[in-house]
Amino acid sequence: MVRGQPPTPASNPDLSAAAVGPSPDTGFGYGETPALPGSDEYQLFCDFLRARTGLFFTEAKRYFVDRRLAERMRAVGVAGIHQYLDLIRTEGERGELQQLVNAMTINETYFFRERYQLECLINSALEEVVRNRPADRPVRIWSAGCSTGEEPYSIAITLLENWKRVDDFDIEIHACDIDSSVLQRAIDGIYEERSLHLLPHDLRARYFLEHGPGRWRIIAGLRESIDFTLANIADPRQSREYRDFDIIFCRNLLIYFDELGQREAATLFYEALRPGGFICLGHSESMSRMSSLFIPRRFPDAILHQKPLVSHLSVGSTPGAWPPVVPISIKEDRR
Amino acid sequence: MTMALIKPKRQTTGQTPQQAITPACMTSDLLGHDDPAERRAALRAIASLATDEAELRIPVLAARLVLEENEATLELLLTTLVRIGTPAAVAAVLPLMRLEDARLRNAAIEALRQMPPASVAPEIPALLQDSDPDLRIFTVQLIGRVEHPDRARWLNGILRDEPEKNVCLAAVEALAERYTREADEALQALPARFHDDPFVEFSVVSVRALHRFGEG
Repeated sequence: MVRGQPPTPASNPDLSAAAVGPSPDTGFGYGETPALPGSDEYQLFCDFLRARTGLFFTEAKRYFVDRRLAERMRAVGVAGIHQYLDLIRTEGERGELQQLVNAMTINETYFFRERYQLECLINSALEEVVRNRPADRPVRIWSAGCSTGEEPYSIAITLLENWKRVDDFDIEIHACDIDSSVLQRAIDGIYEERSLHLLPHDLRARYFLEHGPGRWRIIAGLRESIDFTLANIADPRQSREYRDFDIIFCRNLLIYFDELGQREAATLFYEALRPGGFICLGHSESMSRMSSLFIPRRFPDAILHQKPLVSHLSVGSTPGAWPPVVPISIKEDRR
Repeated sequence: MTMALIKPKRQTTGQTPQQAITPACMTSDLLGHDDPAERRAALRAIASLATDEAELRIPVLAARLVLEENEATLELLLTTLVRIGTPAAVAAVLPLMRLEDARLRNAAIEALRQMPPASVAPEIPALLQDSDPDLRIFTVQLIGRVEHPDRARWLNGILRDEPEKNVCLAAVEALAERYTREADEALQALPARFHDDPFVEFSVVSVRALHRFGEG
């Protein structure tokens, strides 16, 4: 799946045209052009979008936002921004907000996006994964659909900074994307301020070097520790190479697949994970709506989806094979 | 700076991508392979074939459906049949609807829902006439979730003629999920058919109120 940065007018001439007005075949129900937001309303919309989805847009990206916003407003037949936001609030996560996210997140990513999942990784998931694991067996993590690399680098920085057992195991981080241009940017590791807005200054100082005005480059040691590969996860010939992972990050990628494609992707991830391994999806994605192969696990920081330790069918028709309960040892009363 | 991360050594199967795909001529044999990964590779190879080629494998896929013990492989068996999507593929999935195992049954309903309505629709009338009321309930659950021009007519017919109360209530539930105005008359008449059970009237009133609320 292709992810990258939002297209610019220079790279996509279609966007540079003032193509925001209605088209006769849009089905816009009110027979009028949606009123594009004024400056204050635009900010209100951006704040709302950021609060609900984490997407971050400034006035400089207005050409990008306006067009997609107008398309969505026409599609649902509302004429003003306030009416549109009310509709989103009424419909909740599964309704128009999802459509809006799809329209706006074609290519969006940044460091420490959906940070709660990274915290879940170090606070809960990895502890389970390495329980009883011999030290010579590496921890393997896959960032599937890594786009321009912010995700795998964020995972690496989080582990180095916050996982107390980081020195106990070799850790492999694999990352792939179908788009060779975004993958090259991931390998280059050069980012603008916008990608770094959630990164604390001390981490920026430790893991980045200035690379010209407003640009920062990941230090060589970190760049070289991640295996970036051009791959299409939907192609069985390519995804077959991905095996024995403990953790898979596949965030905001499956929303671009159709329903059947999501089910097929779920089986690919199932095969790629070790028993007991976890998959992290994006905030608007639900594995239970795609496949019943995984067990949802609620941790303090996030809900992850776990590959059962044994196949459901091989233990009969029980609703799910939960990880074994670790017996509690009770000391003998020596009185 | 010391890094605890290591540059991974690329794991490969030692095959080129072209070699990694299972040859079409071997797929049927490999569906019985001991290793579930080989069985899944065979299924993916079948899913990538042209429909007429893939359709030749349906008998062996149907046979695997009731034998397969690996969850992921069963899932892929079903998605492969959904990909094929012909009436013969539908016929291969239908027997699962009669199984006692709720997981398999629900997986079958989900697969049928995702198959082309034109392939599934011809089976619906016979399923609605089946002597097993449980099967009729599952069929109504399927009807409730398919996009087909006859959906309203099917639901109408159930509300009007189906003797089993629980089958009718399944139709009411289907309307709760997605209302259709054409069924309104039969829906309103339903409580009179089961006047001894107040739950039927409650369900009908609830669904109609929900619809009016949705209309604003």
